Amino acid sequence: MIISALLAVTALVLLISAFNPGFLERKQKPSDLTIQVILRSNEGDYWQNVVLGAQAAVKEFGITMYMTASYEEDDVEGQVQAAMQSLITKPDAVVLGASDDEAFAPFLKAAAERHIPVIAIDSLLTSGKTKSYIGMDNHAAGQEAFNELAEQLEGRGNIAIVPHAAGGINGKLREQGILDAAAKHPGIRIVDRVQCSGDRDQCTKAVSQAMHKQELDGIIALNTEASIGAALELKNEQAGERVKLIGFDSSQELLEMLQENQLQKLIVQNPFSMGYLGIKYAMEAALGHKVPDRVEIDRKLIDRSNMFWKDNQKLLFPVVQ
Amino acid sequence: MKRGNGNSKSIQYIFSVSLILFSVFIIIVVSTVLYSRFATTAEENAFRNSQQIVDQVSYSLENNVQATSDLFNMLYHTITQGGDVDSEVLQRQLATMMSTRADTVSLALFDDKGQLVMDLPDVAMKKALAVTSESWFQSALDTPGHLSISLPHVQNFYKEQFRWVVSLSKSITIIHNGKTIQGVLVLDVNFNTIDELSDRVSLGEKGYVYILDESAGNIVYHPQLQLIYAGLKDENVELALKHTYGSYIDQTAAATKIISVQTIGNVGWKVVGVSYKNEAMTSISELNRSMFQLLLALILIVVLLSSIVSRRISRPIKQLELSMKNVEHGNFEQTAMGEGPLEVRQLADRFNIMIGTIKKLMRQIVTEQESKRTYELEALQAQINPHFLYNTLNSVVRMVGMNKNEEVTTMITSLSKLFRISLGKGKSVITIGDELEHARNYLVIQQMRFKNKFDFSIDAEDDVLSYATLKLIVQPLIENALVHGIEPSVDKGHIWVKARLDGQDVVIEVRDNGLGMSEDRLEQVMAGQVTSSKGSGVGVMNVQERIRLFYGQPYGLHFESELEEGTTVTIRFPAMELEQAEGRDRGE
Repeated sequence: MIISALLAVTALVLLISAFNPGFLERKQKPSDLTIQVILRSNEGDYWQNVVLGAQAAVKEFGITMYMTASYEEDDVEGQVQAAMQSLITKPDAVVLGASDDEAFAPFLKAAAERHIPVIAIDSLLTSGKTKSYIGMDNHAAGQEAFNELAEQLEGRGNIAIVPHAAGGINGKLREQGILDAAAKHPGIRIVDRVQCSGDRDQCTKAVSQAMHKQELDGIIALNTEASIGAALELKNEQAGERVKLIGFDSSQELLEMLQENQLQKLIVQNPFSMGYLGIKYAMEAALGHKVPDRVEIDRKLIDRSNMFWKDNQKLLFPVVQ
Repeated sequence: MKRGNGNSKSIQYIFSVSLILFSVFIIIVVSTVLYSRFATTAEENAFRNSQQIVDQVSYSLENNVQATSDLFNMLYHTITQGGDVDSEVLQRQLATMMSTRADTVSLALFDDKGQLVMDLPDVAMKKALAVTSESWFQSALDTPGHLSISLPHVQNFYKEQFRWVVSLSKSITIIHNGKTIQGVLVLDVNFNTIDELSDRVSLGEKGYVYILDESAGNIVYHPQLQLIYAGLKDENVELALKHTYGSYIDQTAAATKIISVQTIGNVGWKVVGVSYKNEAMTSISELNRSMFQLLLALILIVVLLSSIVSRRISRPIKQLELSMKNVEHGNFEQTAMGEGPLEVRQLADRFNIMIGTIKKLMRQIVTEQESKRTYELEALQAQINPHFLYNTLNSVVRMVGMNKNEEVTTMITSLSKLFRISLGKGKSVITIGDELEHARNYLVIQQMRFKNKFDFSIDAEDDVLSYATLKLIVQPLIENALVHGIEPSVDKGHIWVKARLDGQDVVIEVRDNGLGMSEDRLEQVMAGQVTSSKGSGVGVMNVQERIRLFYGQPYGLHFESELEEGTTVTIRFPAMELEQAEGRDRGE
């Protein structure tokens, strides 16, 4: 009798399921996944490009994405708070563009406790466990920047580096790369290091002070704001031709000034790929697949002559307007 | 059922298996037919759908390009016929014309050295303007009189403006500062329109549309152009380049794609739609899954149903079996229940009728045995009939008185032998030899009593003697012959007793040559209505009944009689060995 009842119930369930596809589905499909993206900013071409890449992946894989981003790039506390809050919604994976390494240690711990894989993009995190890091090799980028400047200066001169307070771990790595490369070029001396924070005006001021303090042949600016600030100062001083400037990242302003030869080279990442791959690997990690520990995004050296090449156009001007 | 190992299967098993096989067969046939029909339709639909969308996009795009070209040509003619390009009237006229279309960005006129002659709107240009290296400038000069339409690119005219535009350019002859010079007219239109048009299109969940420049195979628009440039994605443009129109299957990648192509004639672009075949076919796999679940559900239902149905069939059968077991154990009182399907009910009815018959037969056997014993007892009682004994002993006394010692001895001996055989050991079956010996003793006694009023002869074949017979069947017949045949006759009579084999039967004949019997009398004797007061009193009827009870209906006595000639009584019964007959007597 019990067996008969069981059989009848099973048959009923199967019948219902046969007429309502998805009734018995428990299997995880990509379309059921929710991925939380936490960025340290959503302003500027760089981060908008990250978002575009993430959106391309969302469309391709048919997943759900939630995004939070700080308004201020250096609002570490706010970002950590937002990240912790996002864990309450139990996302299947987190893509994190962190503003700070140490501050995120409790978050990484909490995520690990909940078995939520974290994919770090843009900034490498060492304070906790992440599934993967997707971004540029910042140390190598720093070296490249220095070598490029050394070439511009033909192997001799005094230079200054302009790091930004919000540069975080990326900035530190880039700086380290510069210092390591500088050790091999005795003809070039790093005579000053001017840190700026906040907006470009402060960077402009800082660079201006440095230029008045000593004679500079070259400057390396370590992020977008610093690069814009330095370039604007050179433009003001009409020293663009004389003082060589190597910058990081791109913006329309920077490109405009690159065309005007206010700065010579820009080291540009591919944030679109970063956003895309971030979502892609987050999805795979959530599905339990193996993902590489580290994915390096190619960087490009942009100058006046190659900025309008076909493939660079899409990289530098991603949004059609 | 337990005995039924080997090939016998339970009703439930047979039922379930055949039903399951049947339903599985039906479902497989139905789903195969459905699947093949569905698959073809789904594929056709996917193709048609994809092609329709691509056609629509192409149509809109072609219209857009056509309208832009028309505007360009109008501007071109206005400039060539409007005299000096520096005239303000002309420039206002051009500005009005441009404003008719929202997506125009700029109109610029360069001389053949790349120097700006005129631009609309009049916004600050970049200092370092180098148009000679731009592709639209080169192609306009290379193919004079021909309208070239560039790939989308970032406009590099204005300060702090980097807009994606498509440039329409053509070489032109103008009057500038009173001089006729060669130049290039370029109209930049916003790429936004095309971008949005293509981006809005959806081909299923993941499908998309891209635009290809057929001359060089460059991608004009692609939603994932960045990924392609970054090497994260590949687009197989070969197939699209090969065809000008139609839908094709692309199996080069892991996922099979449907590629639909339409060519836009006026610009040399191709609109290519890419959709994923498995998306179009999801309904198919869902159908498959549903069919499979339906199959499982049906199998379960069939198992359930067949177990219920077969239980309803087999339960009455099992009950019937139980009743039969009862009967096996000798309990005849219980009748089988008449429940269940018609066939089982009929079977139970038959069984009950059978039990009834058996009960009747058993009762019959009991009565038969009873009457057998009664008749036998009667026959035995007859032997110690006081009348016969008295007469015999009277004769003996008389003979003693007459000093006939020898005859007395004979008579006493015969009497003793007579009793010995008739009482025997209580057996009802003896050999024919013994029975004839009994008859002979009786005849001897009667002969002496009737003072040789008759003679007798006993004549038996040797091989008949050892066969069995019922005890005391010949003597009553002899008595009958004496009483009704010899005694009333005045002549000296004769009694013949003969025993022989006739085929499988034993025949004993008792014949006299006395008075004989009339028809009526014969009938009375046969019916047992005549009993003699003088004789042993055991009727012929007794013999007849005993033979019939023992051997069965066709056997028994046969009378032939004729008045004044005599009577012949024939006994017929099957020849049996003594042991066999004794066994039958015990009811084995």
